[in-house]
Amino acid sequence: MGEVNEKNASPFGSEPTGGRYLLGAIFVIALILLTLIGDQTTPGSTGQTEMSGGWWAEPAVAPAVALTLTIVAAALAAVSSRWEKVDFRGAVSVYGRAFGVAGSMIVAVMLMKVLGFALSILIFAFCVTFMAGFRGVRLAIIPIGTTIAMVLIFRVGFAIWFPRPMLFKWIDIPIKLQGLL
Amino acid sequence: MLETTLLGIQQLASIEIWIVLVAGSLLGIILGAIPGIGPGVGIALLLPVTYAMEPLQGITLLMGLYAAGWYGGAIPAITINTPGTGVNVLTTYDGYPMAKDGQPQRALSLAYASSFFGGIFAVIVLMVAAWPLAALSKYLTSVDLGMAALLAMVLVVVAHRGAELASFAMLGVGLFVSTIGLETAYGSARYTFDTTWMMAGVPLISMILGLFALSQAFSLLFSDRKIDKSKTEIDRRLLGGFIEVCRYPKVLLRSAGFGVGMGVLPGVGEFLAQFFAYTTARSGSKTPERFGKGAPEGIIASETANNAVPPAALVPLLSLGIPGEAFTAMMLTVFIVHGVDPGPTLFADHKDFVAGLYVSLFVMNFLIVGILLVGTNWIAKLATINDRLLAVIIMCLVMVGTFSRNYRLTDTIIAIFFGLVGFALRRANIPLVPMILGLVLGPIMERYFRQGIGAAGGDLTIFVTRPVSLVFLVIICLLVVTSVRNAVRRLTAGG
Repeated sequence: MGEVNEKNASPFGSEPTGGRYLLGAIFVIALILLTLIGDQTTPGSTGQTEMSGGWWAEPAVAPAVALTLTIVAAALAAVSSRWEKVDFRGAVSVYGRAFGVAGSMIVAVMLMKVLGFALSILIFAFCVTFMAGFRGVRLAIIPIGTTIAMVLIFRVGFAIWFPRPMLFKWIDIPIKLQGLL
Repeated sequence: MLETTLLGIQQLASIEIWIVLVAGSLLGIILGAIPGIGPGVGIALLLPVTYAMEPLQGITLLMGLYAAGWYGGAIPAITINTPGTGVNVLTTYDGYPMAKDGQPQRALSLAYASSFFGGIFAVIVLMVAAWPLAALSKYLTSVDLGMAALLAMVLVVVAHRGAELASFAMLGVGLFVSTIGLETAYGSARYTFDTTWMMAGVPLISMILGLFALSQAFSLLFSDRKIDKSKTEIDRRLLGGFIEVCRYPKVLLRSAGFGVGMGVLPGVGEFLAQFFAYTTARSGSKTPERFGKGAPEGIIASETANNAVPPAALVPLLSLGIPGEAFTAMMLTVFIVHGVDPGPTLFADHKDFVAGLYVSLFVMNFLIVGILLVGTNWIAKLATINDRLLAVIIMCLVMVGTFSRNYRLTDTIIAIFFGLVGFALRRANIPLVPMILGLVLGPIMERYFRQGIGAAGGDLTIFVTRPVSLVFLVIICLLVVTSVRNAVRRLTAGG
């Protein structure tokens, strides 16, 4: 479905989408990055002393071309898009939830080194399931089911190694089980 | 050809290849049949797994997802009027009315048979066309290949009609991101802001997982799609379509031709192929008034064209090393990881890989049809899975997929960043594909242009003195001028 949106629909369709603001933000960020080009693409910045090539091999050429393209195209696209009234309260609500999910994912990854693979997935899946609006029995079944599936796919199926969590240093559980969890 | 086929069959004498063939086909059908996911998400999620495989196994797995996804996408398009993937939209026009008329088996069977014909036809074209094109590409210089990469990017951008300027901006973003990290000519750290973790550049896997999978998961999380579960009961009599399609040979061949033609061209792909196939089938039909109301030619045209595209899209990738859209761009990373250079040398140095790929693509179409004939009733029910549940599963997969690569939190943070960016872009209907293409093709283009301009001693007239480069340059200029003119016209028309 996403592909339909990507390929068929105009970015400036009938629904207010915030496209103009997004392109404006891209324009500003690209402009800032372009102003930093001298500092961020210094030849030999990693200690290499012998230089090779001419102007075409200068490290600044490719980013400069890419950023210039972004700036010009984003500016033209933002200017040529129709004025739109964006529901900022709605946008804050949607992006707020998205940021909430993103934050819980970061916390879950950090917890992997403390609680281990399975418990971190369980906590993350529970948070997302809750934020997705599931309640009651499904709030328990979905995270547990997802965690079991992840353990089966990654730990049993692909046998992917994960760092030994601190939890297993504190509590004594069989090595085989540690390998799964 | 016979030698290649025999070599290919030899490659299939391995249990691993059969496992990825079956897994790719099955997963592709399943992901295609679930509206809102599609093969793009599947390819992004499985990309890290394929890096650990042999190139043939990895590419076969991804091609299975790509090709089978379009087959599977027809199921919800016909049964519940919701295309499983974007490219099955036209199948709903005639598939759903036919199903509503009490003939869902006939509609599905026609879709499977047409897809099968389109797939097989395109594999044969791939076998015939890729090698000569690769042989010709031996005579291309770095400048020509760099210009070909630029042409591919411009074609992709201008294919996003009505969004060309935004697409150019996204292409620029992708190209810029591809320059981040250590570059070798001058030993410079570009835009790393003095951090060590950015020296290796933005991890491709994290970016792809973020842009394709995580952003889609965010979208699914806020979805309120309503599903009618009563319409997913299908019985197993699905062979009739394989006989019925034979009554429409012209529609089949024309649609397959459109699929192959559009598949080879970068940026065009399934959408334009099925549009041309459908409109041509309608204008050539004796009963055009039946189109949109359950015409079998409508289903045949749409599905044949769709499924002819994936193998055809491999032609420029294998022969020139230039992907034409996001899926083959992701596949190119598998080649890069394994140090296999697609292009002229691939056909000389890795004959077994190429032959194995041809035969596995051929076999894959039989496997997919076999799975569908047996399991359609079960697969059709997948379309009723709650979108928000899918979001939970995809998010967990992304989290593990990004972290397990290097056990670095930064990889996950990058995926989350691009997931949020992709989510915002999706909501704004700004295309993501040019960004991925810029990211994958950027380093390739930079390398070719550095080599080419360097060999000419910095003389830029090399772009117009090389005939091939000149032709590409003229096409690029025409495309850019036309798309800018169209954008200006729209702007002035809109006041």
